[in-house]
Amino acid sequence: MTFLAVRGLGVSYGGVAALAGVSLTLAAGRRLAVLGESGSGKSTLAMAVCGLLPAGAVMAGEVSFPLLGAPVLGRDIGVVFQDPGGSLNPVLTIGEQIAEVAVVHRGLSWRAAAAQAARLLDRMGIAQATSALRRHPHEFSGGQRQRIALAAALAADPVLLVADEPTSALDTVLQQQLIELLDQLVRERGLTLLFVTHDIALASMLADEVAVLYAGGLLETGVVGTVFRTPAHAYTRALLAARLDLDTPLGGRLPEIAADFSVVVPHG
Amino acid sequence: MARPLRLVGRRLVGVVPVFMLVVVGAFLLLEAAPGDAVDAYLGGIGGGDAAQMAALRAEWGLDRGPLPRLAAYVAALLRLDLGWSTAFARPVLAVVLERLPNTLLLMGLASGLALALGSALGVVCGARPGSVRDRVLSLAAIAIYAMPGFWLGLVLIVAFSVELRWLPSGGMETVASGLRGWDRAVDVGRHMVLPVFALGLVYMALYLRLMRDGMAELWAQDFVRAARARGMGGARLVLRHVARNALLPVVTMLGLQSAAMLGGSVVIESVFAIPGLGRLAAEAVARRDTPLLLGVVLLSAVVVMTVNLVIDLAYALLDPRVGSGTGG
Amino acid sequence: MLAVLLAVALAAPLLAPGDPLAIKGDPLVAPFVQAAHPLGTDRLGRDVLAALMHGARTTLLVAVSAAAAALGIGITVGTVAGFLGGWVDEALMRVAEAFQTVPAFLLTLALISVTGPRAATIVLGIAVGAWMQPARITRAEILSLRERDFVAAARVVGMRPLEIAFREVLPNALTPVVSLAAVIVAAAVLIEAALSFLGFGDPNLVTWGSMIAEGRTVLRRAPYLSIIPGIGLVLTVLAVHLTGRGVAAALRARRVLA
Repeated sequence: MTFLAVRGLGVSYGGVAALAGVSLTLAAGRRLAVLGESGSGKSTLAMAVCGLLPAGAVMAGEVSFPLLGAPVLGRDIGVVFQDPGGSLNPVLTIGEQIAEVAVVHRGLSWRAAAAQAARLLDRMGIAQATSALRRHPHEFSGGQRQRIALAAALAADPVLLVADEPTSALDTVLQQQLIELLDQLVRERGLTLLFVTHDIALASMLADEVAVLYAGGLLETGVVGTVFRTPAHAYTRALLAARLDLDTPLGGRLPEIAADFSVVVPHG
Repeated sequence: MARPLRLVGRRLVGVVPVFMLVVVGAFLLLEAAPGDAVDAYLGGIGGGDAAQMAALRAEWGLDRGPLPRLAAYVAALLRLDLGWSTAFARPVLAVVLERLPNTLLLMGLASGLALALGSALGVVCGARPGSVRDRVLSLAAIAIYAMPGFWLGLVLIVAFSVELRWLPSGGMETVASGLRGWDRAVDVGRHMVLPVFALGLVYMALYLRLMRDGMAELWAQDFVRAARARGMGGARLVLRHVARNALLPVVTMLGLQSAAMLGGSVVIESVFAIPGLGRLAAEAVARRDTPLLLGVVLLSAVVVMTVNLVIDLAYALLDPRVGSGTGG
Repeated sequence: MLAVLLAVALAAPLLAPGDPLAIKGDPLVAPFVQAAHPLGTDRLGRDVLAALMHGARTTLLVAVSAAAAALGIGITVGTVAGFLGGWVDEALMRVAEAFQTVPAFLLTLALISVTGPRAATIVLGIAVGAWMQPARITRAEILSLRERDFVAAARVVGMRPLEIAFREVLPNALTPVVSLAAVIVAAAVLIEAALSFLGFGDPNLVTWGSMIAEGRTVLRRAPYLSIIPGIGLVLTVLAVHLTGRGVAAALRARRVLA
């Protein structure tokens, strides 16, 4: 069953096209990684799916949810952003911010919502969840704030989780923890996941399917294993070849992707 | 609750040296004025001979050098002795305390009006920056802010008192009316309407623009987008998330403006013939009664410092980030 | 708009020669009735328009001088505090706080009570009540610029600290102060008007405040006497504010390009 269908999607800001002619589908319960470098339009794609494009953005094409009809942001779709510091209102307690989602969308009483918020925080690994409800965002570390934002995104029991580079602002240890948490949560709740990243390794770890974007256009899409073993496009091949991992030899210059998508190691 | 109290404690300690500077400044002005306290006192009771003057000077420590005189002044202040008023032939403290409640009432009502109306209208403008109602209200606010308070007062008198005859044109209450209790309160209220508006409208315009500008900036912030992403919208978004944050700079400004408002009350009280501190200051200058004027100045400083302290406390309660050393 | 105002103010002695306090016509003529007195006359028969123009001159003169004085004091104090730091900085900031605790208007009144109502005192009084904000802003700018490269370069060349302060750092710190200047001028206009309204202005000068005060005695019969100068004040203040915003915007644009 197609959960999400994107057809001919184009987005432009002030005459400049950030995205053009993107079409893809996503089945329920699957995980899609939107992969690309800065400026590829991957965040724009995610925001267009959510309906969170900024004012002044012109959207062409179609984004539809055949199973949901007209999804409500916050209730059917949960969103996590890249910057942990910017997702939470500094003057409200985290308890209020997580609970209000359930109160507004699911009609829970404040007390029931608060209890649920405490359970969510506990599941996210925030110590002393009940007293944490009364504390404010600035009292928590970046990694904790990201998990709190995740709790708020899940508070109304959505079916789709959209994450825009959720780990980019965290260090490697925290990244790993958050990814494992995401993985567990998606499995426990049967969520459909759409996450944006520039990190191939993350995509291959977490996703079932991948869509590769470059300069606002969709280059290829398919099951993760297939795409990464036998990439159809030169850019994807270049991305794979250029990535850094523990096997990359030290001391040399880093490989770069040239305009024709060949990978070159510049002479030092 | 410990955090705000600690804050208040720290602020109190900081306030003392500042007040001492004000006292020294007042002392210097007192010295600069022609004549001294003895002249003032004896002038008030009908004069005295040289021997009396010398005796009083010795008693009050006025025949010694500047530093001992300063010490004597400070000592007198600690006894709450603010000197003698030539104009009223009474101790300054008594005259000043008599007028204080009226000014506090005027200022309190004006501040309340400015804050409530300014914030409310500011939210209306800030909810949709750039809209027609935003531009109209902002323009009106700019125009009001440019008006001199006393002129506004006169205009209000002409409009509401002379032409429409809705409200009295001056005074604190109807003289010798013998009203008591609730009736008296209503009478005072009617008299207060025009002066409160004359004093408060200018500040209302200020808070309106502050609130509106603050909100306009906040709309672009990340956490507002995140709140939208959680499905928060409409009034809930405007009030709980955006307005609440925009309130903070308004509260700060409230404290800063308390001194200015006290200055403004001088003119308003004169226009509306209200027996308060402001008008007292004007009378003191007109009648060359420097000790009285300085008494008003010192008391004003105390009022301003108290108001600032209260505002700081309110701000600490509103903004959880204050005083906790920004954790995480 | 300010240009028009300035032009009228400077031209006042030419346009309306003679003493504006001299009695020229019948008393209490309403505005727009007689051609000789387009804005009417006051209680004693003096021409309102002439008084208005002379008042403009006085008002602008006092306001601009007061603002200049306030800026002068404030910038100097701020520079010294920001550059020397340490206990000098602490002490100066405490003094600024003390001045801020006393309402500016009362401060000016206190000075007037000591020296009597004179134009110079009014200018000084307003300046003394307004120097704190320029001082703080200058100090903040100095503090942030102090550590920058070109200061270190100047030090290497061998300039002495105060020289560095005034020749290198200060010009860059001035931009935010300039927009503040407009605000101070506008506030000074209003304070001066209030003072002369209360009767504490210089008795030899005609100002809009004194005109309003005089109009008060015939408020019920001839309200225009008080209302017209007030409109003048509002327009002046608005003009000053707008000019200030324009200048600030232009400066900011220049900074970005530079």
